[in-house]
Amino acid sequence: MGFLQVNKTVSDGTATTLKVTGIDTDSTYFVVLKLIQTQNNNETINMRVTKSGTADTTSNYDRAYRIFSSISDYSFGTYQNGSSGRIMENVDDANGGGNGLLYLYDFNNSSTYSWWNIENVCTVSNQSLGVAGSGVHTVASASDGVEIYGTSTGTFISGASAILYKVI
Amino acid sequence: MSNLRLLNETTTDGTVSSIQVNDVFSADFDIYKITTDLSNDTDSPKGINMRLINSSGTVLTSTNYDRAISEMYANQAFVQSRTPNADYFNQAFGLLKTPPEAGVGVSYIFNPFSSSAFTTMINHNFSTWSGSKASLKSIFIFKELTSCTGFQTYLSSTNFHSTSVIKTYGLRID
Repeated sequence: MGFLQVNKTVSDGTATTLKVTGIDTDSTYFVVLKLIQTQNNNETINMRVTKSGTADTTSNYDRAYRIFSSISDYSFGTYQNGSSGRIMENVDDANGGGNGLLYLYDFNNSSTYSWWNIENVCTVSNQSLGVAGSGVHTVASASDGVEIYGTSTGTFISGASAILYKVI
Repeated sequence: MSNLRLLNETTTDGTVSSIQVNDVFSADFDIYKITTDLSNDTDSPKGINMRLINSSGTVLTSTNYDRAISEMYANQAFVQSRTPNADYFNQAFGLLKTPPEAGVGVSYIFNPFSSSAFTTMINHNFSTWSGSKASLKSIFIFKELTSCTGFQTYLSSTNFHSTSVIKTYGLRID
């Protein structure tokens, strides 16, 4: 298995969203999220799928995942019919924030939902935190990418990156 | 051409309890994929531990290693394993025993060469040992702003079996 880079977005220190597009085949795609850190302590990071390059804000996002902690019992993160999908529960404003992966399935298929698997690990001020699970956008239309943002409208640090690969 | 580049493949002769993979992390890559297929040479099951190595070749033993693992067993209830502030990543690559039992999995490491971000890792493996069978899903953070150039994996007493292999890839960002 290999990865063929399709697109990337790197924050210059002023970006409030990171968007990568370019999905135009039925392959599985893979997004690497690197240095996902804003100036806000305890920022939550959400994602949306893009339709023809524009983030879809309709209330059709579901998620279910396990939340790992280095200091406390693990919990479940679930939600239905949100206007975006949460992917990182909490990232610190220092030391690199969060890093992780998204596997994207059926994004190019106009007759199915768009699905993703989430794996990430996040630096938090008082613990190490991670997520493993999945999400879906329950609209049967083609998606061509993803956009991530901080729910406290934080500005991503310089170097915060989203890189889109096609799995080959 | 794939952006995933094989940087190192390490095997053992069956006589060592520790494997060092040196000089694989560099400024050329920020994300690394590591595949592991590890067994040991005696009938004693062991956790497969890990520490990072700095640019001087020193294995880092400070108490800055955090972990959180979900052990999803085929033969018993699931278990949460977590440890903050340890001096190593306990069960970083799962658990093992003699072949045909093993710990087999894949890890992604982020920013190990950076001196301005912590080194973080996610791992997923399947381990079989002494009748136990578990899928382990894990997160790890080394809470130090230290540039690391390699890693060590080790067992507490027994040696790695000669069939053991570790492959390290860099994921290129163009």
